[in-house]
Amino acid sequence: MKCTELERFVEQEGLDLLGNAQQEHLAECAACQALVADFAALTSAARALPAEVDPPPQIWLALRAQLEAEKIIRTSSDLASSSWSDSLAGFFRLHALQFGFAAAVLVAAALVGWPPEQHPVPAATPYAETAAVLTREVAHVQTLAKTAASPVSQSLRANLQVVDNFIATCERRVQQEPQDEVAHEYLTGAYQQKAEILAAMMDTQAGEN
Amino acid sequence: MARNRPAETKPLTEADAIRLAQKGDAAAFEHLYGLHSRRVYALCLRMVANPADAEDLAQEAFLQLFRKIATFRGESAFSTWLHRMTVNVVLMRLRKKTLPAVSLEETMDPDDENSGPKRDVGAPDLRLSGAVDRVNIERCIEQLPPGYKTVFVLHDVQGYEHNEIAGIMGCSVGNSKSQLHKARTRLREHLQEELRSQARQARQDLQDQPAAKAVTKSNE
Repeated sequence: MKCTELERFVEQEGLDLLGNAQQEHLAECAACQALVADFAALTSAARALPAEVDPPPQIWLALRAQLEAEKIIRTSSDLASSSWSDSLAGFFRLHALQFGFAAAVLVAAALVGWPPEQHPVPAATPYAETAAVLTREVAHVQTLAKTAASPVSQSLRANLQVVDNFIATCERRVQQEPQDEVAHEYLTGAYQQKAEILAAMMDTQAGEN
Repeated sequence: MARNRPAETKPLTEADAIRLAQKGDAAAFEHLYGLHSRRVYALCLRMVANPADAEDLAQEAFLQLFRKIATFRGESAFSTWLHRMTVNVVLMRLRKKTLPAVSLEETMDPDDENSGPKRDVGAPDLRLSGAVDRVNIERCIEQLPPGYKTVFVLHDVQGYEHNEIAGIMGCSVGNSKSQLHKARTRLREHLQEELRSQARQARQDLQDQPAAKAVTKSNE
């Protein structure tokens, strides 16, 4: 056997399968002995290196954010009805509103959810229950507001009035044109804004009291 | 079989996770990431030897994989698919960075295939046995051309078989074996050079010592 033949054998079969022919050559050839010994040392050192390394957590965070941005990962809001009732529920949970208010709003929102053909409700009162729940909450907030007269609270009350006016306008339009999708969207958004303002008023008043 | 293959630690199987991920399920993506990220990150880290670059590359590899996950039909193992993508991402990055200095074609050169083992006539015995430690082998792996490095890391560090590497690299088994052999040969040369350099330095230090002592004595 020649040196080139032994080296070719090592290349194709590795170091573990050296047969008699290879061993005979190795016994006589110092260069090939050195080659095989060095490859064994290299392989052994390489196998001692870690095959797995914990990646830093920011890789997954960045990856997940990118996947969500590209809509490859569908978030809960994508997977659910994506109606405003879900975000509203989440919003109220976030603010820890009292006495099952969030649940009540959710029930109301489910009854009147958009599009109306999926959850049919009487056209004359499409958002009546949602409006009623929010109205009761307004009364609750106003009770608390008696002692809260900071500029922030006043500003929130003013904003609430603006949103209420807008809701009234949208409701009129929805009653006149039940199939007007834009009016429904505006009304939905307005109710959400009203809920946000109420939650902010609660937070503010809790802080002031 | 590769060493330390990712263990199934959760009841969700990889196949289940793939099916759920194809529907956009966030937890399934996280599960798949958890199964494979340690190995992918280790590969990237070994290839570029820079944690910041390795993070970018691992993220890019997973991003490309997840973008295409809806097309995965299971013709090849998921891990092979992922590693193929990782290797492609890494090689593309290295090609951009090192093209002027080291072309990828270098990895395909015949490279003295027909010559036998190098004989260092007159050189001292430089057997590597007992002289290779983690630091110097890591340094020498870094110096390998990208193609050699990939095959060496996949086979000798991560424990993949040649047929798996052929699937990852998109080459033949024979080509994988050939690349590994060349990588080991190149590493051996680098390590021998390191040892020679260390020996030279040690001799120089020995020669300098008496001279330094003499200077100190004369100053006294």
